[in-house]
Amino acid sequence: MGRALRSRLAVLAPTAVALTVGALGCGGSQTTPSRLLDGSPARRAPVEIEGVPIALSRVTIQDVESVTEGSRVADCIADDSPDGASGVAIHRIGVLDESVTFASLSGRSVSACDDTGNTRDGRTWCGHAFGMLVKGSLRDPRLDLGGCLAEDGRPVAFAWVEPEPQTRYVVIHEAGFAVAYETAGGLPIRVATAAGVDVERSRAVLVLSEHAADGRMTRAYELEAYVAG
Amino acid sequence: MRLPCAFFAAFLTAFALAAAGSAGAYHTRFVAERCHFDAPTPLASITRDGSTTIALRARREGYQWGGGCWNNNDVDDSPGDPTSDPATGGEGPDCSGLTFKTWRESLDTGNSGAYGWGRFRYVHGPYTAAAFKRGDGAPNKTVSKSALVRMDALASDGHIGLFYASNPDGSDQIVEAKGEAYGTNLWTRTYRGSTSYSGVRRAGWSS
Repeated sequence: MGRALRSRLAVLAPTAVALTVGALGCGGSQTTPSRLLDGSPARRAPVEIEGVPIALSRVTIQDVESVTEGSRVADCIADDSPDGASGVAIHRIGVLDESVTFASLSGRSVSACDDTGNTRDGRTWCGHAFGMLVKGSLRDPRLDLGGCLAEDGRPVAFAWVEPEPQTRYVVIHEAGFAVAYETAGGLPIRVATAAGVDVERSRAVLVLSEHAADGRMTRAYELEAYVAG
Repeated sequence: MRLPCAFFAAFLTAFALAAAGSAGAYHTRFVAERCHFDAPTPLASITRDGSTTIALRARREGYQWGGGCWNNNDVDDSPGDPTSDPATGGEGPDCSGLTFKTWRESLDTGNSGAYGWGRFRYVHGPYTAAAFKRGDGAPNKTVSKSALVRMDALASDGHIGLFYASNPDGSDQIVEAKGEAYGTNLWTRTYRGSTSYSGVRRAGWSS
């Protein structure tokens, strides 16, 4: 995990933490979404994720050498890296979001295409991200916000999360529900949130927890991300 | 469904421990003491001369990753900020923040209107250098590098600089926020000749 990213994991005042926890509904209620962005049923995780009921996002790993022409993955690679990609591409469908993440041909950077199915101007993807890898880690989460809207019109922010090595699931805690993203392909995990998005300050605060393969929670933290660079 | 409070207790504990560990990260109060978040001023029109003035006034005012607030005293009032940390609250823009403020754009990517932000308004804007390079956002579009005029930009996936003038040897003078060690200034660059860089233009100039 990047030095800068680690430094941003927890910077909010205790009051804000209390508010966040309250908003998450300690002792309250949450509804697990039954559908993902593309309308497909949201699966339950094969293990019980400690602490919260979650909807499991869908992840597909594809070798960049054999992506299907005309597919979303092929479209993203052509769009964001005309010179090519290396390794695998990770295609994710969450509750609010769709994304593709892949490494550049040199392996020294990663790119992402982001979408919510609700772009302002009918573009193929509502957002994109590019991040240089320094010693294998991103400089920051490469926050993307402003161009992507949820179905109800709220701005959706996308960011990369670099989980600890033992992590199998990264859970994003939204207002009213939680979504788990599985680690895949050794690439940063592109996650999305409509909670904690602050367009005025070009930042977003993501409430996260990381879980091992058996569902046990290993970390819980807030990630404060800014549009930068 | 009731949620176990144990989860949130663990969350709170982990958060508090992490917060204690990072409490020393802030070492400047420039943004906290000097900058504001007031609404921008809608502008009926913008000129390239006006944007040139904004860009040149940012010279020598430092650099802040994710930043967007500076004064006009030709001194970086928060030198040596830790790099890659937008929350240190230091003076100066980063490359895309300088472009956003100079181009007087809206936080709403679908709005191509013009907005005056003022030096002390802390704002970065929704665009990274890579987004500008793509021409993302209603006001922005890509343009041939051979057609650049003052206050157009040259953008790569990781950096953007504002075109000021061409030099006889084919290089260009670029106003850019280069990095914490360099600050913001006018430099001679050869971005135009690099395949990594594209020309970008803000639409809607009145002159």
